[in-house]
Amino acid sequence: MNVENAKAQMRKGVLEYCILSILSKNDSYATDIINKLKESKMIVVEGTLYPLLTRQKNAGLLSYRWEESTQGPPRKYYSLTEKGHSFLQELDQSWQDLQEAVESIKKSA
Amino acid sequence: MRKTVKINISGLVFHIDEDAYEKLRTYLNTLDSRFIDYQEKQEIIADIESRIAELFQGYINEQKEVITVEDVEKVIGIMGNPEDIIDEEEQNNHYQHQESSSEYRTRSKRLYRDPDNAVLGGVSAGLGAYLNIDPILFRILFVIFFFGYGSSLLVYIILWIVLPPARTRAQKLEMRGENVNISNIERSIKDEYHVVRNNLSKVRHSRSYSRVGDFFEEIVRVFGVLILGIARALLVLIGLALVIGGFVALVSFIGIFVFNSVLLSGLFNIETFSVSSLVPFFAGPVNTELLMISLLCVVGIPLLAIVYGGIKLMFRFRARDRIIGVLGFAVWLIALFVLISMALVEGRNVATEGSYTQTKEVQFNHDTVFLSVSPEHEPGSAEIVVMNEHTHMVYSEDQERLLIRPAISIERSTSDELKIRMHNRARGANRYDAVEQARDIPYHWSVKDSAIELDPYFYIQQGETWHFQKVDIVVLVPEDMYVQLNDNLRYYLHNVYNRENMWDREMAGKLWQMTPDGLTLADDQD
Repeated sequence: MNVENAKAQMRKGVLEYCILSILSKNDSYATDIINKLKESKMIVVEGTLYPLLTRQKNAGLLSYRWEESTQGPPRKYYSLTEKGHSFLQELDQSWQDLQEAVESIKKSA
Repeated sequence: MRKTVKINISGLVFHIDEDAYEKLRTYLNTLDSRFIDYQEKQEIIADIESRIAELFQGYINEQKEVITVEDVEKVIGIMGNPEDIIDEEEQNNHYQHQESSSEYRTRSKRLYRDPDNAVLGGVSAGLGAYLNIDPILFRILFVIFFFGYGSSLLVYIILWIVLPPARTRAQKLEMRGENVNISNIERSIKDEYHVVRNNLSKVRHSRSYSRVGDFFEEIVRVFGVLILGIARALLVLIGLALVIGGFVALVSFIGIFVFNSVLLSGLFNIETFSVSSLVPFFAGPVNTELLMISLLCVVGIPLLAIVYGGIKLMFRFRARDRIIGVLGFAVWLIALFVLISMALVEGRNVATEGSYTQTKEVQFNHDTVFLSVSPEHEPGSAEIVVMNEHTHMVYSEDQERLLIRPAISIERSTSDELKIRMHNRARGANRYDAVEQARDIPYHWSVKDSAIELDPYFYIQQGETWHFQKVDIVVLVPEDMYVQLNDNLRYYLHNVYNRENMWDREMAGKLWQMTPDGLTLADDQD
């Protein structure tokens, strides 16, 4: 087990959660999401995000609308659907549980 | 001066340098091929293209109107290598693509060169990473064995050429052997071509820098690139050969099998017969279709597999090989099982051989017997296909029949009588059945004056089952009698003993006399 790999695995696990969280605050287009994720070092390359967005959209968690852009092609603005919101709530809960679990294990250890 | 290409990405037009265009196209193609299993592919690629267009938009201005290779490289750096993109998304597909994800979980360790920890080419570092041993051990070994006639140098160079460097994060993880669920590292052949071309241009490039003392390294590089290129081209060629060979075999097989292919026999000038018309002679009419289908599967599936393998060699792409393979193999096994069990069932009908021999005396008062096959009931203008020496397949206008020729021989009669012995053989479910089949063979001969006319063959009619019937005719000639063998016996005579040591075929058309020692060429013939 090496650190790099462990870190990558952890990051991947919560990436979807992060995307949903970002979208729960504001509707955003892909680049906004990418910038936020990059800031917090969640992803390294942008390409990773697009398949995820499409998956989540196809799973009914997200919807999108087209908006014209002053520069470049029209943009897809993603927003959370009803289902996405409840999905996120569940993830929130389980994230909290996880956090507490890790904390308590660390303390007791 | 450089040539540019005009491209349209997401509805925006860009001027782009030719080499940059190639690079971008390869990148997008590679991405496209990686997503092969997904219906979202179109959408994802469109999104990525849209982002690329946006990035390009930022790179051009009044002074700089053309997208360069550096721009494309920058974009690829931002978007990430295909390995990284697919690699990361593979692990996250738990809600939609479970069935497809399982096949990517099998990848484990792969040997790479490790350029990050390299002293020379990173071979030792790569080996160390692969075997989880300190690379210094391999370095020492390479140095020690360098004094063994430089053998280690050769090994090192080969490894240097053969092993790819671990560049992307996914490759690095793979090098250390963790379960990274990486997507297949297979690249499209275009990708390969570009690697080779890039290597070549790198060589040219670095040569112009004329680095002193690196001459040897250059030679090794050029050599490596060359060998790599040849090896890849060879793979493609083998693939092409497999595709063409398999395809021709498949087409011919189906042609012969399903159609009594006039087209094929016309093309290659060969006699063909349709298996489908032959099958009813073996099996009962009920089983014919089942037999045909399973035969088609048993032969066709391996041929298809060859073609598919060839295509995979030519264009490395990702597909659900395992599912296709397992499915194909299962169908093949079932077909084989059906075929074998049917063969066993049908085989029981011809399990035992039986024979029926009948010797008849001929009322004969002449010195010379004229022996011939009667020219009657010729198959006419039908097409004849030879199955073996004595069994032929005959097509006439409206029906297919099997035609079976007798083997004719001449022996010395133990008495003074001229006799004809007919030895019929056939196969049947049991001895009784076999003997009955043999007895019922519709073979006849007739005597007219001093001439004996033998049937040239008998038929197995359409709708009858072939019981491997055979007829051996032996004409028993008393001593001193002359035998005139008609020319038309040429292909019927079989194992005729004679004192002249002649071949059966040469004996036809000649006058013979029976002596105590066997047939002798009659003198007055010459």
